[in-house]
Amino acid sequence: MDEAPPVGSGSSSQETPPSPPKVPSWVKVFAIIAIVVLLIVVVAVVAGGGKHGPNRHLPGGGNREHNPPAQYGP
Amino acid sequence: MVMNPGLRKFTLSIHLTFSVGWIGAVFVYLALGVAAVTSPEVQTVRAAWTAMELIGWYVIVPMAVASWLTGIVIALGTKWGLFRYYWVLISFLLTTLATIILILHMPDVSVMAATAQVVEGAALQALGGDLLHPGLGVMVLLVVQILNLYKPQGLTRYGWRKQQEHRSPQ
Repeated sequence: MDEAPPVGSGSSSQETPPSPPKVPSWVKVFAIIAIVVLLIVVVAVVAGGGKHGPNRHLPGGGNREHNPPAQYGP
Repeated sequence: MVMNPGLRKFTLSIHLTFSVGWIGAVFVYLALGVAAVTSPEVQTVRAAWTAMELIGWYVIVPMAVASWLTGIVIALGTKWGLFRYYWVLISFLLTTLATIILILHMPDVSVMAATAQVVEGAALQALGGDLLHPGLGVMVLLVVQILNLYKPQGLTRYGWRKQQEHRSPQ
């Protein structure tokens, strides 16, 4: 964000477009990729039995403290 | 409010320091995670988990929060705004998501780091190296960095309305 935004950005001209600008194609592609990645993550979590977190690693369950390591703290 | 050039550069310097530092710290975390997965030495695995917990809580979380906050300050303090351009809006949403997931995930890291100190053998190996979360996280952060460097064009409807108001204040 070190440069000033271009005047009329979102259109080919230097003027503000008279009507609301269309969503750029890169944003549409970006949104599709984001949705696909999100679906993959959801499917992976569901396929893993819906368990997410240390419980899936630990035989005794996640009953320990969930805090920053106070013994090392400043 | 638009910041003056001196304040803008100062804020940008802080923002860049925290943002790039966040990415670097996640790469360090990943290296420790790989060591936790691959090392046959119990002490190395335990030390890796201890270091991952410390770096997570005392380096990565503070840098993430600071990067998120300074990003908002610099967006609102310049003509870019927070909601006027798609690249700023998407960067903000991705950074917010990454920060929330990080803060929600760190207690799990504390649990696993504590467990690593007391278990051995197969139970220690079962902890893995926590590679998925930081792996996905660093990819998100690199996407944000690319968006911030290239600034692809695209004005949101809100940004267009603001420009219209600015040009015809009456």
